[in-house]
Amino acid sequence: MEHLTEEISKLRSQQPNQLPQSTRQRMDKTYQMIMEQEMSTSNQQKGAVIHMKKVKRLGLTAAATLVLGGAVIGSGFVSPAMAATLENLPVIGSIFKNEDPGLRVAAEKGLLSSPNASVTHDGITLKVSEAFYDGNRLSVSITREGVDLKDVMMPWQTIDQSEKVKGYIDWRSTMEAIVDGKPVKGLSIDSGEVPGQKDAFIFNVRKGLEEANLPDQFELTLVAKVTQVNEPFELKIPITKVQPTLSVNPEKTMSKGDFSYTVKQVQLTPGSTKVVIDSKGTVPVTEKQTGEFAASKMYFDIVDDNGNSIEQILIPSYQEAPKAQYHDEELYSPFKTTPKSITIKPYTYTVNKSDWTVAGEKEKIYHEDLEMTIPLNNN
Amino acid sequence: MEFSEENIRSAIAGDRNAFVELMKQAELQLYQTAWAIVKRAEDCDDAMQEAILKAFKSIHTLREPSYFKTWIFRILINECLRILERNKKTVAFSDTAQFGSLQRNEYSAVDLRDAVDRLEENLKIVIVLHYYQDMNINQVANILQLTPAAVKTRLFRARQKLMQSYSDQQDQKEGKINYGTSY
Repeated sequence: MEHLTEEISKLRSQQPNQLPQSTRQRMDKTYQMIMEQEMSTSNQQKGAVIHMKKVKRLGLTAAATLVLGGAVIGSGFVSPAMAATLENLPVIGSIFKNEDPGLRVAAEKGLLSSPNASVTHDGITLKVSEAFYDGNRLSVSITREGVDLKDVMMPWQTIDQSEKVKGYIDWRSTMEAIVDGKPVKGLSIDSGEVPGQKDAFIFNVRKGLEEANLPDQFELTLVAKVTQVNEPFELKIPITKVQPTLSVNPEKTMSKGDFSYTVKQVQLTPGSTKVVIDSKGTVPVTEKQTGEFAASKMYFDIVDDNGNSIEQILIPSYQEAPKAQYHDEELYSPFKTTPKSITIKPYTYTVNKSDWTVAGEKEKIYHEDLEMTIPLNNN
Repeated sequence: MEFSEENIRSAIAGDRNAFVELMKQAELQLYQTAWAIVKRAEDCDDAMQEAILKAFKSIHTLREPSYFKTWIFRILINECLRILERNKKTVAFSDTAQFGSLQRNEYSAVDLRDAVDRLEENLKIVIVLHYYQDMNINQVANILQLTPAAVKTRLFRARQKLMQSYSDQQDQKEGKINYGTSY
């Protein structure tokens, strides 16, 4: 028996010693939900970092199965303009128009498709109203009909009660993405309700799409679970990629002291701008960022050659001491016209050392000596 | 795993940062425990998320900071049991594939772990908490809201069952005739 006890104790070392990626993402989103809860109940703070409040993000919304159908709509290039003509796009009343600046522009430019996908179970209908995919992001807006509830997503503050109510989207299901029978790993999914839209929610993939290497046309299957409805809602959505206008891999580095950053990729599409930046080292600090204050991680603003800036879709707020390195894959709104060059303007926020929240008026502290201009060869 | 009492007190008082900090500190052990009980990745994630949200909702009711650890484990285990119950009600599934990739060079360890996995829930949980998470009898008793004597009884029964499974497996390996195992 003693030998057995020893053997059982040895099993301790065989346990997982870190969280798998999917759990890590789920936990981070859970923490984000909790932190956002604070932001919404405490004093209404203004400023960029709070952009994340725009959509009530609830982590993983629906079980989403991404299935790439074999029968795609031909292989030819479809220009955004052509796609717009073909798809008869409903720009007025677009749910996306209430979303982040990227989708707003995409809606205004008529880059959205309006797939005719809807599923009804037990008196509740989920209907896809718009979809957008440009390689940088994949977004689908869905409406719910058949119940009269204030929230679309199951309110997590009252899980015990709300899971017994029929008609909420049950966001607790884990995302599963499958391509031709094989799971697509590493997609970072967030979804949530849309401010000002009673019965709508948006499904978003903003990271991991490049690695997933999806074709230009595919069928996306989203499987959503609704509380008190047994059968899952399976929505099949044809997706056509809005082609990027330009993509460069500058591999250009700027540094100051211990800190450096390298721009790995800039990709412009008619509906978004993606910038991939690796940074490492300790960020430079100003006088104000000492003592009880410190500098946040480095963030990056983008302007074109005429000084027009684009808006970052979601500025992540980390609420922890800056790490030694970051791989940022960030989305911004699209440029109105393709610029000749862009300038990356690094900045930090001043944060409270006690809890790493942004201090004061959320002023951006720019580091002009770290700015980088990247020519864009748009022949 | 030692939690800062100051953090716990701040979290009880409503400080979200302190709460998240505590959860980040606890999450690996919580994950290990959930994994040992529910044995399915998505169930594990569900249990973790729900436990954390429930803990967040009710941490203001925690009177004594020193009970924080047993309190959060209790919430997690309740969630795990709820999920197992839910799964029983819905579809019976076979999910051996995800364990197929385990390294099998340590045969006896793998067999023993299999045997732990096959224990009935109430016995498995005491093994997981006491041996895997290195908690003492009183802590386990507190989490499961049992008397220390009841925990000892469960541990004893669990060890007996494991001993039985274990020796059966050894017999099989050594080519002895096997007249049936305990499971």
